[in-house]
Amino acid sequence: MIACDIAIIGGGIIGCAIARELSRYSPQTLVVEAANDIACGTTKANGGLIHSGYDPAPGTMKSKVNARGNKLYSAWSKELGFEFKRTGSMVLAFTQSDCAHLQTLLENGRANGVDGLEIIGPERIHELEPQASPDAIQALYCPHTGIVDPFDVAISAAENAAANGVEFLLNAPARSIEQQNDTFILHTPKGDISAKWLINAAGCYADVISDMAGGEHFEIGWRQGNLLVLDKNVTAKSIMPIYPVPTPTTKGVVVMGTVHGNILIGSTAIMREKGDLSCYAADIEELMAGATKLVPSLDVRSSIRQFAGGRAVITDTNDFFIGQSKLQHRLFQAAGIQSPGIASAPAIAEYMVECLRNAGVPLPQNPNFNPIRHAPEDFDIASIEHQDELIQGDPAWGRIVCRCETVPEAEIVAAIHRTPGATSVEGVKRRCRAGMGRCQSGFCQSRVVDILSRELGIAPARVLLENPGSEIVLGPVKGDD
Amino acid sequence: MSNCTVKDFYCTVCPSECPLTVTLDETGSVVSVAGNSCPRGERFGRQEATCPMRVLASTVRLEGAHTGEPLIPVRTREAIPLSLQAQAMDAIRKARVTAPVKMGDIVLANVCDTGVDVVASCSAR
Amino acid sequence: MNEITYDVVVIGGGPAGMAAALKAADAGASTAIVERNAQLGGILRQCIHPGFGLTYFKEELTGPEYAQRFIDRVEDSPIKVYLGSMVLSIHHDDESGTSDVVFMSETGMVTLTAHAVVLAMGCRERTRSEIKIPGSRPAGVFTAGLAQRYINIENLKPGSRFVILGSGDIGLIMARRLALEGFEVEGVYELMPYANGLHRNVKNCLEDFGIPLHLSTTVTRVIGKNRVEAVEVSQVDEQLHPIEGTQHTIPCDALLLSVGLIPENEVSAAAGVKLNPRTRGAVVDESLETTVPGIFSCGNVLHVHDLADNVTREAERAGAAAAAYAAGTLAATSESVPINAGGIASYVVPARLTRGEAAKLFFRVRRPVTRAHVRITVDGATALEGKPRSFIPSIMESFPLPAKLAAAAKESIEISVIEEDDDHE
Repeated sequence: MIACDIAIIGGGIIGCAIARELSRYSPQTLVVEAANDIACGTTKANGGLIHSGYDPAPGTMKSKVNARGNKLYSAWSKELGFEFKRTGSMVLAFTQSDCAHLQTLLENGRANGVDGLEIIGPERIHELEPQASPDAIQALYCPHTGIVDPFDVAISAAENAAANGVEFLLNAPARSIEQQNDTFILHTPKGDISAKWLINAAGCYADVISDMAGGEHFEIGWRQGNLLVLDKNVTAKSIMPIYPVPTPTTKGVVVMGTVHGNILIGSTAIMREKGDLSCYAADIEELMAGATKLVPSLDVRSSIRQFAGGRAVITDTNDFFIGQSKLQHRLFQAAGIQSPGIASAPAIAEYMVECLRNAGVPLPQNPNFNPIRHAPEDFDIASIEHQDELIQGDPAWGRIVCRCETVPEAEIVAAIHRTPGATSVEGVKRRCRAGMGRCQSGFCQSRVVDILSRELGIAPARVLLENPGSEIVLGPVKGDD
Repeated sequence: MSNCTVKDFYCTVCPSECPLTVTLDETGSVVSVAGNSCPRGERFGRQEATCPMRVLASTVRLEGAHTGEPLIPVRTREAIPLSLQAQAMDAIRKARVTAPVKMGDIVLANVCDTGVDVVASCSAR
Repeated sequence: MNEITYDVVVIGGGPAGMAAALKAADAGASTAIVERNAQLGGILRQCIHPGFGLTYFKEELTGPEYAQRFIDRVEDSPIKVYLGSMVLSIHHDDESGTSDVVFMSETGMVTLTAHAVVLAMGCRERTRSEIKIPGSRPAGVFTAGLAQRYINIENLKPGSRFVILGSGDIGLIMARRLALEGFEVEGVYELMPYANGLHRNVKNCLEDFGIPLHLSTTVTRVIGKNRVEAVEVSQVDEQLHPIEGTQHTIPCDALLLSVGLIPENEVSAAAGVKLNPRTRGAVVDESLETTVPGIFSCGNVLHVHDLADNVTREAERAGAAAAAYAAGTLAATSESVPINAGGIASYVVPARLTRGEAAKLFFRVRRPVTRAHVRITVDGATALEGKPRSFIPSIMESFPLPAKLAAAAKESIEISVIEEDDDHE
């Protein structure tokens, strides 16, 4: 039996953000994650836009945490050492009815405490983003919108939480939850876990967890989206995030530069079966058409990756559900965290701690808390002098593995040995971008498999692409017999 | 000519890839080769229509290589009958070599009694 | 950090790089090869099948043998070889006329100063994402070259029951490799109404093993949560769009993609080398010089070749030209005359003349034709016509541009392949 004070179910960006916030305090906190890595559910398939908060209807939980979360990102990125760029953004209007919608967004924004919003004309649109469509007649400009790499954020928060004493238990889906007196007993394949308080950050399975733990009953739907990544273009500059006018359920197909210099188009929004991570031809067409409308010069053929993800949507409210459960007072919900979940994450964590404190959960300060997490070495963006220093310290920094993203062997080894570390090819990719580039691991996959096999002490045939059952190779062609 | 059979295939002697038509009589003997543009093409057509021959390439387990590579590429030095490929593969699958190996070194002599050796396709230190 | 100067620095130690370096060294140039892998040979090391050397050596060699012949020559030459060395950037200095080549290696960051540079980095494979195959994203989808590496180099089995999409040469060759090693190959599926590989490969790789080739058919969905469980294939119409109702599910645990190659020119483009959007290789002149003075390009980084033998020949010309450039004996450039492709020719290399010299024009056709001829137009007037014959896209064709025409051209040159009516018989 593993005992802790607070168990956070779910190691996505929300679970990791809460874990990091809780690591300021002394309760023994454990993050319980079903998968073999953190940040590989809804967090992973996300564009990484830090929306500013003008979109949610005033009075919703979303409106409460979005603008605040956006503000916290500046400090967060400095402390946690992840890349965050405040790029600003525009919502383009092409018709008179679009323009009316911009006005609504502007008013929403003001009600939500988002300052600096402006409605601008074609000249200013072109000045801010020359690649934006010349057919746009108006735009809502927001200076606060930013971009991040969503798994980098989650991983940074998790690493800082771990450094401050939070434990992570992976491969531990909660099969059932027992309530005994003042504790929960979670039954997982990794053993039983006892916790005094439970935080439900289980993404699209938060409904199941809430039911298991005696909380409110709600349904979480899977609003699925396809996304498309374009190659880094050495000659064209990045693009400011550009949105179309939103619909009631989605902010629409957005075009944006990423922190790594790619261009991302995403995403579609269609209710599909929970867990469906497929790409659909119709979605891809919608993405290409939507993107071309916003940025006509975009070369959508230079797509190097399509992927899909799901937003965990509470179907009847379409809002976040954050706070103490009314049915089970030792259960705290962070459920239905769909878009703008990444943008809201720091504020959700902050708010969650407030809820715990208000509920009487003792939260003495952690005297050893260190808010700083240093970003791991990134060879690709280091100066040539620093690159040379790295290699002089360890020749593995000079051994190229992923040539598209310039990732040397030492960077991959470091990604495997971080806490929590990468245990799969995709886990390596999320941490140091090996395989993320234009060849999509055609050149480096076999080398990454080899390094994982060596560092984890397992046979190549046991190295996973992602989840259990995703072994890449099946064994030797010519055996030892 | 009613008992004649006609086989159409491309010549693979050189990159020109001439389309050949080979006519065989009822005993399976070649009556004519057409479509070739050189004498090598005619020889190939006759052979291919009666007993096709192929150079077989595969890999053999390598031990002790400086680079740690587990395999060395091999080939039959000459073409062997296509019909013997599967049998030759069985022998290649069981073979082992130890580094150093030089290109052309015999890995498996007289494979399947064809009189043809299987040799290393590159050197390994 | 080290800094060393060479007459010629060749980037890439595959067949193109080795041939270029050998020719440059033969001409007396101090020459270096910078190769990212631990061995010379490039992709030929994993191309263990025969079919190489038929024109260059007049005998049938496997890829490793073809490479080894050049490796042996390089080792016997004064060429300096930097292995395990990945070039990160090239900076051309207009003032000095030299280029700095910066690479990383186990010994540190190294800068080589070159009087001339030969780009010979080869190409990469098109991926699933580039052709946008819908469906899930499980383990078991490989480019053919990656599967080839697993099987031929790493001794690892990437699957047991394969579907191959694309009848390019690598796909066909992998079908045979898989069959020989005892795996199941369900079939090769090809979007186009014809095979994209050489006839010899259709014959020796598919027909020998009874592997079916399905034309005008493509993979329309990948099925399987963690590992490929099946693929859905569909027939396509004349516009290459899947035909609703023709879907067919094929159980398999691996999908191999042989759907094209793309020259790897990211370093070249960053150095200011202008690329041809058709070939995605550099725009070069008759000396294989790019738009940056003293930087030459050859092999699959210039345009995707059909045969290694042709890569070698082209690279030898680039190496000789680079050595001459470094020695100051390459003819000075004059006004540039563009060379365009027309008719059913999809591209032409070189894409311009800058020295008014004779050149061999390399091109491919967009689709197979049974009867067509080459026409060379100089400044808008037909100057030369070839004999009618058949053309197929898998073969890289060539046609000579005589010195007299090259010298006379002022405005433009066009090479077109003109299809003729098929009623000559």
